[in-house]
Amino acid sequence: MSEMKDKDNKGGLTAPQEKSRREFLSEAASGTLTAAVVAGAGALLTGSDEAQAKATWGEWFQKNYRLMTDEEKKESIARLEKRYTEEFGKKTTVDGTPAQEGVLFGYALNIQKCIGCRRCVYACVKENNQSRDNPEIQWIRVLKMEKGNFLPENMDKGYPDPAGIQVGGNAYQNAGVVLEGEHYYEPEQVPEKDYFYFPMQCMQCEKPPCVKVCPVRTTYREPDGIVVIDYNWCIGCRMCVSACPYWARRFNWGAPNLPAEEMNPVTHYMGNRPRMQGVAEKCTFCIQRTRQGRYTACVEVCPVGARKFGNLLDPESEVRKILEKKRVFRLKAELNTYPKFFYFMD
Amino acid sequence: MDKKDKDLTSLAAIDNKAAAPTSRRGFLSKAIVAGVAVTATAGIAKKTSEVLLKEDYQKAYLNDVLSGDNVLASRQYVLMNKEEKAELLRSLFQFHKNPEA
Repeated sequence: MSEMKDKDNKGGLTAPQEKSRREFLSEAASGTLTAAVVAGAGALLTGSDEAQAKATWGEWFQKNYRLMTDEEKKESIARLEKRYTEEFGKKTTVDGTPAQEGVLFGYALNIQKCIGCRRCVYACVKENNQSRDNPEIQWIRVLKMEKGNFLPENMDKGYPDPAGIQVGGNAYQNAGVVLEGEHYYEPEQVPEKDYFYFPMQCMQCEKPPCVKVCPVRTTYREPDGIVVIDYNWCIGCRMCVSACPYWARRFNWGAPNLPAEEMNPVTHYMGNRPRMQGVAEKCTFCIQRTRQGRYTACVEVCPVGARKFGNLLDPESEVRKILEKKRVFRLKAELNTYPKFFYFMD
Repeated sequence: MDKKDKDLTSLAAIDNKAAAPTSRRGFLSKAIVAGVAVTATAGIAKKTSEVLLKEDYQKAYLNDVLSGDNVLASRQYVLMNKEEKAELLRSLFQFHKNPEA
């Protein structure tokens, strides 16, 4: 030690109060590094608000939900309940109720009755914890279309007009033309004269193309007919989004923006629990409600009773009666996807 | 500074340079500094990329959805007759009983 002191003294590197250029540069470099460390650590930590960042270790490494044992399912659900409760500051339940025996859900929508008020859209957003802003995700889309002349007696007559899009066969006039910019229509009053409204959502196909293309089998059809997604197993490849012939799937390009005060704390693992960035989502027939014997939020909120929901296996159910008695339409029957969502007229 | 001092300065510098890489403290210090530097760089790169490459998620979402709206609106309704409805139900029940169908 004394040798070192001597050496320093002999060397006379710096005067006590004066700094050499080397020292100055060294201090400047360490100062910059410290600032960078603080900034970097801050940058990494600020990401912790995202739902994905809050996922626990166990959540990252859990199995596909279908392959879990009952015990593992319980653990997974408990983990999620804890996380959502902390994240949103309210007691959140994650239901894992499986499909009931003897149930096959079906849905029917009266196209004549729909007034295009879009209450169903907003009820769905609220019930199913969809992202509110950037992006504003909606599982139900209501298209505003021109009525045209849609008479059954003209179905097999004449030729379509050259302009416009024909819906409903060879009607003499254009029908069902969606006008550019009319996807987010906001009239003072609905229904508007000369227009009809066409709500679209997941058709819960019995032979779903989205399920066929999923490379990791995270999406599948449950025995009660609902096509579900295990969000934790989804790799975000968007194959299902591309495969769906009804454009019913939505993709979380960014972390969903779900304000804590608007979050619905009654959730289902396969349904409306908060999603994360990079996963697909879609209508699940409000699985958290329907598996408890309740109607979907859109059925409940519809002011004109255009939406009907029930068990297709029950001959006395409303949806079966509609299938038997009403004029029922299906979209894209040629695809053989066997949707369980029907459009009908009185 | 006379000639003698100059020689001592250069001697001290050589001593320091030779001693640093071999000491445990020197190695640990370098490892820590390197680790911290990597962390800091990663953090700054993340934040910078977030700011510079910020995507318009709403636009991406609409790109997915609006193209579908136009296609869907151009599709035909298919009015089902009684036989078709019965066949549809029969198929649905069959698939329901056999998940592999």
